[in-house]
Amino acid sequence: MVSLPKTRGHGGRGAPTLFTCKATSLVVTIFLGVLAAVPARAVPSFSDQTGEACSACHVGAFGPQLTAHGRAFKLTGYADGQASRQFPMVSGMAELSLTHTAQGQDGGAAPGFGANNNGAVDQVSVFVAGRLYDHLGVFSQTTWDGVGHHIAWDNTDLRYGREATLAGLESILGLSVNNAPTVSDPYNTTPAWGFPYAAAKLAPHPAAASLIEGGLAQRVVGMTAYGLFADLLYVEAGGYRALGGGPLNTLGVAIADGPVVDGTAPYGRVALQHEDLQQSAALGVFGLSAHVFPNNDRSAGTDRYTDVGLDASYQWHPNRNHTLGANATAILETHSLPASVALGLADSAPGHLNSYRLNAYYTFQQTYGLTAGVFRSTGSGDAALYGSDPLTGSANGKPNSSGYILQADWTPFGKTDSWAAPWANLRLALQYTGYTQFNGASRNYDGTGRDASDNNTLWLLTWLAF
Amino acid sequence: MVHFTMPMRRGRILAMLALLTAALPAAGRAADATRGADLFDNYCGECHTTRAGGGSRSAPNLFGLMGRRTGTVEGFAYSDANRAAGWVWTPETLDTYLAAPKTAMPGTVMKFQGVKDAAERADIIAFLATLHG
Repeated sequence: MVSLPKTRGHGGRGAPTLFTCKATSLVVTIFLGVLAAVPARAVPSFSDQTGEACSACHVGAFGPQLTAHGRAFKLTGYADGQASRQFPMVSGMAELSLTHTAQGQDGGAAPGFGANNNGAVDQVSVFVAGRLYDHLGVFSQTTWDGVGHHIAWDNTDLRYGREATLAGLESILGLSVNNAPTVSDPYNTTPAWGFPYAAAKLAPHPAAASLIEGGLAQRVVGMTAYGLFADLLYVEAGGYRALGGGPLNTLGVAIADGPVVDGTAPYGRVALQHEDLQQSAALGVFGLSAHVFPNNDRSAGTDRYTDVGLDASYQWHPNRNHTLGANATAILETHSLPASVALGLADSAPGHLNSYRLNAYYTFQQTYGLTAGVFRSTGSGDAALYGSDPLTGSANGKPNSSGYILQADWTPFGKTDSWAAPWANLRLALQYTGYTQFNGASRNYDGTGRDASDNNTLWLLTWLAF
Repeated sequence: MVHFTMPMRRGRILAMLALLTAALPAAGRAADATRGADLFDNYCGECHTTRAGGGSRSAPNLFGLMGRRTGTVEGFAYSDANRAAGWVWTPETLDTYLAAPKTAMPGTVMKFQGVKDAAERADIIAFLATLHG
């Protein structure tokens, strides 16, 4: 998954601390040990393991948007496939792009880049992904950030899942150990796997995001247990704990760059779904509650966040030529920030931040895709939390942003009869993001005369998977 | 490579009988193998191949399915349930299986919820019956 530029709203920098949680350390050690024990053979992938084309599991024959079959593959532990096959478990991914914003960014879009019209290798990722044992598999991504020029672990999910019959109901039961809330989720409505599936790193992005929208990603390790009962009810519950500064540093994450969970942050998810041969639908709720030290500063206690998400999705695929669908997500966050207030990072302890996303898509012949989406964030104002920095800040201290995203893409490979399948995969995407409001205002949002529409972004992406 | 568990002549006879049976009116209509081919492509084609002499993907090659015993495509790692079932694929067994695979054969690893529409099943079975040497 692409890492967007860091958002604010969860504190500033603080002093790193030593790793203090032995239990978490043990889990991480076992987790990394399992990954290290995986033999890396050539250039493997899930597709090679299963013998299926990418299109079997992914809408538009390219990740991460899942079909019903892809959700089943994930829930049963990434373990399907012919046991006798000698499949390698390493795959690669690269994103190369050109970014144009309506107005340039003074001083450069990022260190080493110009004010506008930048070409970049956004990221290069290596995946360890595949079956480890019966019903046990892993999806683990390590990413080199071509803009920030650093390497870090990315979305990681080690899971055990198998089919079972409970009280006469066909079910799937499983356990997941992962490093971000919603990474384990099988639907494309939750933050880890939601649209846009890739976004321009060299363009400005709204400053505010709820905690569950990536605030804890790769900064925690968690375990969740899940079940899909009668192909109708999906339930998942678990908790996340912070990783210490030492392990995080090893994994390429600076502990002081974001919130650090105190204790265990419970996570839950319930969804009702319907699937038949031509359509699928889901309606659900998910949520997270966390006490966090802002930027690992433990001198003033903790802030508390409670995020509740409501989501719905629909997918219609009458045949392999056509897929039409929509995803909707609303995340309602309430927070109390006494620690941030004491540290001067926020003016007011109580507050809220709501995030809404809606998108619709159509894919023709698993090759040509169109997606249109709208987004909106609203919340309580706080001049300290949402500072007045040029370009990235908010002059009125409000987090409100809104806009739309249009994307057209072409995915020539990844089908059952594709050339060099499953090793050669390409998506060319043209994405336009328009802002009607940015960091609190439509005009002069940062107090230096920059308008929301000045951040409108045209992004041409070459996305490779191999 | 597909191997039959019975002599080829018997297999061909069974396949012809299957074709005839599948062509019998189902729910008041004749089975349509052409439509069945399209349905097969939509529902089954991501996992199953049907080419004579072709290999298997994540699921076994279905060429010559009619008259074949369950779990017998060489080199394919079937579930215990499939190997132990001991069925011979006929229009009748296929109809039962395709309607609800996991109910008909508990323990099958085929991730497919089944074809609920009887007419669609009949069409798919009619198509499968055409896949013989």
